[in-house]
Amino acid sequence: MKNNLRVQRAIKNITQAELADLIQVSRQTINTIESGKYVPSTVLALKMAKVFNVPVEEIFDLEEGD
Amino acid sequence: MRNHVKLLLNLKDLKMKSKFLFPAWCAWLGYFMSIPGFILGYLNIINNYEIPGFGFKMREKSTIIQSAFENFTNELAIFLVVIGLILIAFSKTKREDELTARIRINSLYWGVMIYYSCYILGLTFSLTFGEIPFFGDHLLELNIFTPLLIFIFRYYYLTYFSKESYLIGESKFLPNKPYRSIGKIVSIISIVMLVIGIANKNNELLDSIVSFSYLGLTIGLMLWAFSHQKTDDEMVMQQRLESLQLAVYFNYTVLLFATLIFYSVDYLLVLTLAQVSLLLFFIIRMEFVNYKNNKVLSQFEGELSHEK
Repeated sequence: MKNNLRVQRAIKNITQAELADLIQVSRQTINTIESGKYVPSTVLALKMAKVFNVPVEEIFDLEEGD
Repeated sequence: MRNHVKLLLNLKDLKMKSKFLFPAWCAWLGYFMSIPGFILGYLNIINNYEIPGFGFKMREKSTIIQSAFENFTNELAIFLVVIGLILIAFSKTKREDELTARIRINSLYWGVMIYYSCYILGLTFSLTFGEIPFFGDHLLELNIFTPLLIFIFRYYYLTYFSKESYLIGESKFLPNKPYRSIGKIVSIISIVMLVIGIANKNNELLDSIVSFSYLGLTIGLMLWAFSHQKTDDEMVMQQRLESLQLAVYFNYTVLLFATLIFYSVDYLLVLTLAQVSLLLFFIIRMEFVNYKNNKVLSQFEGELSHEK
C-alpha cells in the first residue's frame, strides 16, 4: 500500500510531531507509516483522514500485489 | 493548528487500547527487581551463596535429598528476576500506540522462537556429542529467564535503534502443509513416550528414550506453534500473537507458584516440565481460540440457513 501522508502534511502545514500528537501516536510511528514500512490499522487511518479532512482513499491507496 | 484543538479532544476518546500491559513506570520497578535478582542468582548458583537466616525449619529430620532447613535465597532470586523481566517486557512505552504494541508482540514471538531454536540445537548437540560445559549444567536455570531476555533485547533494538522511525520485525511462520501435521504427530508421540518412560523408572533403555522424547516434544511443539493455520489472515495472526503473550503470563505465574510450593526433587521436575510448558500453553490457548472461532462461525451459518 502506498500513501501520500507527506503531501497531506505539507498541504496542512503540520509536522510529523504535531500529527503524532493529534492522533495519539509516537512520531516514530508517523515516520514509519510515511516511509511505507508499516500499514496502519483502519482506526488510525480514519483518524488521519479526519485530521486532514479528506476521505481515507485520498491518503492511502492500494498498490498492485496488495 | 487552532481548529485542531476541538478535533484533538474528539480523537482522544478514540485512543487505542493495548491489551494486557502494565503502566510505563513499572519498567523502572522491573529494573530495580531484576538486576539485584540476577546478581543474587549468580552468587547463589556459582558461589553457593545463601542469605544467612533467610529461611526456616521445614521438616523434622534431614534426609539425603531434603534438608531440614530450607533457605529461600534461590527462590527470592527467581522471583526478582522473573517478575522484574516481565515488568520490563510488558510495560507500556512512553507513547504506546498500535505500532509499539505490534513490535512488542512480534519481538516476543521472535524471542521465543530464537530461544527454542537454540535450545533444540543445544539439546541435539548434547545428545549426540555429550554435554556442553556450563550450558548442560545450567540449562534449567537458563530456561527460566532467557526467552524473556532475548525478547527484551529484540524489542529495544527495534524501537530504539533509530530515533527517526521504528524497525519492523515481521513474524514469519512455516507453511501449513506439511509442518503443522508433522508437529502434531511428533508432539503426541513424544508425550506418549514421555509418559511411558516416566512411569517405568529404573530402565536404562527407557531413560534414554525419555531424553530423546523431550527433544522430540520441543521440536513437535515448535512446528505446531510456528506454522500457519489452514486459513490464516490478519485476525488469526493477531489472536495467535495475543495467545503467546497470555501464555507467557500464565507460564511464569505457574512457575512462580511452583517455586513456592515444590522443593528439591519435585522442583527439578517442575523446572524440567517448564522447558516446554510455554509452548504447550501457547498451543492450548491458540487451539482454544481457534475452536471458539469455528463454533461462532458455524452458529452464524446455522442462523443464516434458518432464516432462509
